[in-house]
Amino acid sequence: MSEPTTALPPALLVDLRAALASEELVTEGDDLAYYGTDRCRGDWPVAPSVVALPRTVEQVQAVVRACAAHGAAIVPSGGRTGLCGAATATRGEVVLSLQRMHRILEVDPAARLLRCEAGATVEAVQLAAAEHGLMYPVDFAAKGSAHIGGSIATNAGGVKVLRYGLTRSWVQGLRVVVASGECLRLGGGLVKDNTGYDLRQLFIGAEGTLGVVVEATLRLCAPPAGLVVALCAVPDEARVLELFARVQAHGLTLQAFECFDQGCLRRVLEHRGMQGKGPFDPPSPQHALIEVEVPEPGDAAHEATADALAECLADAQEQGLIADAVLAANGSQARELWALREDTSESLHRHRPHKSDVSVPVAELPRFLAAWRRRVVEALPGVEAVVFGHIGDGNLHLNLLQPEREDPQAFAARCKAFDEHTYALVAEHHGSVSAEHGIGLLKRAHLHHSRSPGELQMMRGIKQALDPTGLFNPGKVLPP
Amino acid sequence: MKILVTVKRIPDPDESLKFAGNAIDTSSSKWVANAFDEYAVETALRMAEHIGNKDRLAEVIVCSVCPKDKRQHVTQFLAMGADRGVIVDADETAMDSQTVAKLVAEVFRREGCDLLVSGKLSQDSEGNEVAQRAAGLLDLPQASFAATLRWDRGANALTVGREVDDGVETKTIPLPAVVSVDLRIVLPHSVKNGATADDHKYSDGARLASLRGITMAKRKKVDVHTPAALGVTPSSHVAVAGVTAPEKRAAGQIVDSAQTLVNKLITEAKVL
Repeated sequence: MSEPTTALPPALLVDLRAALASEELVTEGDDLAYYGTDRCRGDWPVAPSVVALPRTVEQVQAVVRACAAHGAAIVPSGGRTGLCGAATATRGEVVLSLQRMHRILEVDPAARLLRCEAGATVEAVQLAAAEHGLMYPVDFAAKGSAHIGGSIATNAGGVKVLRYGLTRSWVQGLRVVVASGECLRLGGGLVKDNTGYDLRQLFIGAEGTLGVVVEATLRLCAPPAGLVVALCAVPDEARVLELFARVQAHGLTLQAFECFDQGCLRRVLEHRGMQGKGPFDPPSPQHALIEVEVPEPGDAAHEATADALAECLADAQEQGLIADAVLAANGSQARELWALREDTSESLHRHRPHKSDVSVPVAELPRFLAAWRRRVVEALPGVEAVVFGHIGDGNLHLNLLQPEREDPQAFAARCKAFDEHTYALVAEHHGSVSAEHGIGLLKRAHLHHSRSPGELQMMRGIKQALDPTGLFNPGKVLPP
Repeated sequence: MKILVTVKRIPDPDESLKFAGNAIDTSSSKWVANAFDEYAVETALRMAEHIGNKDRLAEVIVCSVCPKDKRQHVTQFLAMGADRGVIVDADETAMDSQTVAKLVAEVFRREGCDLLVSGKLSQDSEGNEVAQRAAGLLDLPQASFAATLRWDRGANALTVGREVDDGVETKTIPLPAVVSVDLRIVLPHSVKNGATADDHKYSDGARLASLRGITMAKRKKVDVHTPAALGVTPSSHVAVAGVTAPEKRAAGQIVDSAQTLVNKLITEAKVL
């Protein structure tokens, strides 16, 4: 990355010190690097000049105004669980962390709305909703660390998208501090509000390039009466897809339909120190994790749903779609099965995976995967490819694992060169180069595979209109 | 060889407790199988199966004291692989552990079993009594809190590693006998039956019901007895003195400096 690092103007520090208490400002030490990056490891430097940790909206406004006055760029920052480098400061930016603004402000059970500050974690929102018998259905493995603000900025997906959609579907209102320092209230209590452009939508998925989300009003829903979870051993990817179609045709309401291959499962079992075998003997090449909703409360409905799923899977087994399946008999067994899927990212971490988060139309999945795996074998000898994902959404997480003896830098270089193959293949199959992780720094060079020149030009126009001086997260999303 | 395994249904430990008067209100509870009973059934199945061979070395019978129409947990264990079930049709919440032990002991006698395997306790009442009381009633040797188990078929005996306060006690008991199992009995190498290779690695934890198991479970035999037919009159010698929720913890405080924290620890918490 060749973009120049800008030094922090001394006058800016004076203004920041006036706006923030001493413990709300980090100017040196390890905390700089800690707050300066997200979970994405790229070949860019981590170089924030200062970290601001405001506690109030007014403080956020003051920081934005000070940075605007002194020409310093801002990297808005949440739980930093992002996987594309969008929350990384590479050239002396001011990191504006919402970490200390984490209050749940209001839950309105009748309207099914929850209002919170941007720094509340997704899990805290889920728990606050649950206290009122309601549910915030956006759910993903990093929920304990990821902030609501960050999940909005990245339009986070996760494991329940099939049933509930992306974060965008659940944002009723936002308060956003924009480049002028003004705090805009965009939507809120109203379900119906057809009054021109819906500006709120612009900030969802903008990865902090248009303003800073400081507060959100989120929709909640009633939780399902119960859930039935099964794990299936499936011979190959094509049959995972056939199974998906069959379960849907059976009239079962799917909450999730996830897949992971044997490579993923093996790493999870190793990572958890499980000495024994996995759930299937012999091990299965592919797995489908199925979560089905129980339509009404009561043991009878639960049993009927479990029976219907078992019957559906028994048919699938007879026709060779699955080799075997296990069903969870209770909540703790269901959590065990989910852990086999949700611990995947963490378990792959030590193998320094090179990740790609892509989506293709569901029907294209097997063809795309077969072609991609072929290209890995041809172009990356010695590299193991493991795949997990949300089959129901056409979303795959492709992981290339570093061979044990290979130099990490050499491996990274090989993979980076291979990315262009991956994303070109995605484009060939009419897919997206980023299904749910976003663009950040990692994928901006590949954005052209998913967005036309006309679209890119319009996106630049929007950036120019909302943030004419390039105050917010410069260099992210749009290629320079 | 016949192995009888006690299994119990309990209010789902994942749900928060509700209180009604001087009791825990279970009227809207979801009922699930006690986790330690999963380990007990897994233990019995590992003893019974000869891996790599279709023969079974033992018949595994699950036994539960519960209303006969609330038998989901029994079906679950049949789906897991137990051969058949015995239900003692009664309201298990209205009797004490001694009554349950009498019922279990009577089923054990009538079935002519060689081994009783129980979970060390049930997660709801945490009584940890039934196995020991049944052993007393049957006048059989017992090994509680088993973490490892080796079946010496030649000597018709079990060698049991018991987890006790100061380590592991190894004890050999002749069959027939009573064993209660602890958490670690379901580690991959904890149970050896003398037929399956000693170095065989089982899956970690109790197995889940497979599709085939679920289909088969519906066809497996479940006998239903009444306490009267077993010659036992249910009773309880337990008097409930009181049931209350634990006190709620006060909300935490966020302080703005280390000095304030130290002051509060001295003046408010009085711990320094």
